[in-house]
Amino acid sequence: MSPNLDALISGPIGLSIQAQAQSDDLDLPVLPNSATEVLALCNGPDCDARELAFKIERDQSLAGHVLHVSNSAAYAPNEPIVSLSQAVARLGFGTVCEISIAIAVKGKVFNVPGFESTLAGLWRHSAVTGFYAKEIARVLRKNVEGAFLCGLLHEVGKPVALQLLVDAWKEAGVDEKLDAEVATGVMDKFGGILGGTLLSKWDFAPWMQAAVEYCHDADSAGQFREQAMMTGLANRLSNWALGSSDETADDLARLQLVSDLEIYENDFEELLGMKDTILETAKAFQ
Amino acid sequence: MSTEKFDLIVIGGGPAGHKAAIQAAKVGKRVLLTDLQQAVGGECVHRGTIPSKTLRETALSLWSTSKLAPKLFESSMAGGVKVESLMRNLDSVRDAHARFMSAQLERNGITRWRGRAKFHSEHEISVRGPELSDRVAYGERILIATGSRPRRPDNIPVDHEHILDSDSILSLIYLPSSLTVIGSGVIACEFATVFAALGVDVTIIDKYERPLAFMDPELIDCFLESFKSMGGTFLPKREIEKVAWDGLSAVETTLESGEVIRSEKMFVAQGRIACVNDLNLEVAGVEVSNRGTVVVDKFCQSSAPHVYAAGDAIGPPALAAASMEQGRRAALHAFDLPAPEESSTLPIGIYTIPEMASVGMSEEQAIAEHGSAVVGRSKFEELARGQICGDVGGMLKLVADPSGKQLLGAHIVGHGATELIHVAQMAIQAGTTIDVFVDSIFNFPTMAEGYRVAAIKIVQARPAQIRRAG
Repeated sequence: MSPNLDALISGPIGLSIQAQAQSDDLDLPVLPNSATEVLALCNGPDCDARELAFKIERDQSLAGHVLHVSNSAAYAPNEPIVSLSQAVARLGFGTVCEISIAIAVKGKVFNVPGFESTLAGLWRHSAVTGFYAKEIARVLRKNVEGAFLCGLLHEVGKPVALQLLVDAWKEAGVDEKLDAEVATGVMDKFGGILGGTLLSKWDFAPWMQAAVEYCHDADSAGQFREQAMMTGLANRLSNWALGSSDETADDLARLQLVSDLEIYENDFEELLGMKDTILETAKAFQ
Repeated sequence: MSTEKFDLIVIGGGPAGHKAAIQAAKVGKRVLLTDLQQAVGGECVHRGTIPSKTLRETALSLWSTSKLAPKLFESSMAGGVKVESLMRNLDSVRDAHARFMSAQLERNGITRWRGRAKFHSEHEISVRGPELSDRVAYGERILIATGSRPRRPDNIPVDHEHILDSDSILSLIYLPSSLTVIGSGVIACEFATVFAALGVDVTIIDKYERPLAFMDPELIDCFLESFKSMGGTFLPKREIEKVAWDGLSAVETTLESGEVIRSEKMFVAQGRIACVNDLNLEVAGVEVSNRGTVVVDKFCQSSAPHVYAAGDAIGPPALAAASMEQGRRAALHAFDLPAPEESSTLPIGIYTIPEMASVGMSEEQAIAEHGSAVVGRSKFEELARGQICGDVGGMLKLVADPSGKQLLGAHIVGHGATELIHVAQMAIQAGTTIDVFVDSIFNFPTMAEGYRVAAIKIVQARPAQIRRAG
């Protein structure tokens, strides 16, 4: 932590962010109705393709994005997908739901003016983490569907922290421009707790909240330690796949996380071997 | 790399390995137990018996209550109920069991290594941990207790998301509204009835005419009737042509008959295969059968005299109770200690809803061996306790020798079957006559009264109902 960042976090701006992060009244981003309705419908017992298409159609922006992603190389349609019903039929409820959540979160949360490039990188990393989390769950015979959303949303608190910093910065009337190192430091410091709070507000299951909040500190996740470790490992694999860390494949294979999750050499090599496919699939979410 | 020396190396910490390790340590041997997982107990504790029975206990309670107080449960639970909410006490059950087993190992001074083991030489085992550490141990005797994993049929793309096996079925977050079960063995039928009891629309598909063919046919009739009453469907004598996720909402199963079955999820349970492929067994000269199991004699000794194998690694019956006994016998024999004779009264317990249990000879076996048999039945609907429990479909069947004097076998379906069977097991082992059941006083009201009712019927049938073989 740089001295600047130390001073900021222990100073009035840091204390203000801290207080807000722990406050019940924190004004957190709300998922658009269309996205929560899609999520509820997909998880419900009477999911109907026509109704799902109808719910998405009512939100023009969401509809456009779902069609865009459905037609991307990752989902490789043999012929162009021109309607939402066709998209639902081709990709399935689960995938359309994942796409809808991803689009809603990206638009609503990963959107802080002035930090577009930082958040675009963070979003790409999140998407890759989601797909890696899915494959880790498959290897460990854990729930695959839930693992994806944990991975996708594991950094969702960071842009919220960034927005709080920007607001506090403005309020404090600081002339100096907010530098990237300070922004990253604040996101790292408060991202976990804000992510957990956000998922709680969005009514995600407690194990998903814990997996997001404690993915960098699984020992604090209590009974959800394993889910937090899976998300944490997906995060490390994503950084490696995107070349945003210095860790080599060999370093990753020796991680305590890998050992604690009891992923053996051959399974781990299989995960590493999925890199290109996962990067290609994640492109669809950009 | 230094090599540590042990009297016994046990590969695999499930029921067979755990009991073998404890037995050897009890007679003063230095024991190493290796396992892939840090937690003790193997698949039995972490993915198999304990978790599935925990879910079953909840399903059974709900099903029993729904029969006794139907108005409380007018709507189906399936399609939205969280599976974890039905297994609330799983962590505590599993942790308590693993803790107990772990304490036993510690108390007996057993060394534990976590990692993937394989033969390095005839007597040496190398163990590679997930942290990529390598260690080698020398074992005077070695026991293979590596268990089994679900067999994956070539024509079914198990993805652990829509199409699951017994390793992944309990990872479901929500109860599906419908489930196709492929296979009709023990695991298939146990899960099929648990999900059916929870309100899931279950279809069992199998190539055989009847499920659980090794059980008494009358028990299976009761089982099928009960399964049907829960809304389940059994499709016998069907071959699968193709299974695919339709990309939308259902797994589509196309049968060679042309029928297409659609369900939200699929559970594949077409047997298990022994986990012995990666052990490098050829180094030690251990023979493997064409079914992929280690070939052993009645003392669980393999073709290499210093190597033993027990549990699922040697194939059927692949029951936890039998595996424990095999492990214990192997350890005793390995150190030239007297091992008890192989028990002829291995009880079989199947945790379907309703549960089934069996011990000793079937009616057919008794006729084949003795020329005829006398049979007595007690329907649970005739018992006060059966009426109280709402279990009127259950049955207890006793098989006696042609004179109707000697008990040869017992077969039970219904409430408490897996517990009740031990009465018959003890009676057969002790050579108890049928008359003892007639003359004994049983608590009232209990299901155990069924023994007396069935025994009376055998006594009444003695002069007339002697069946001739063939």
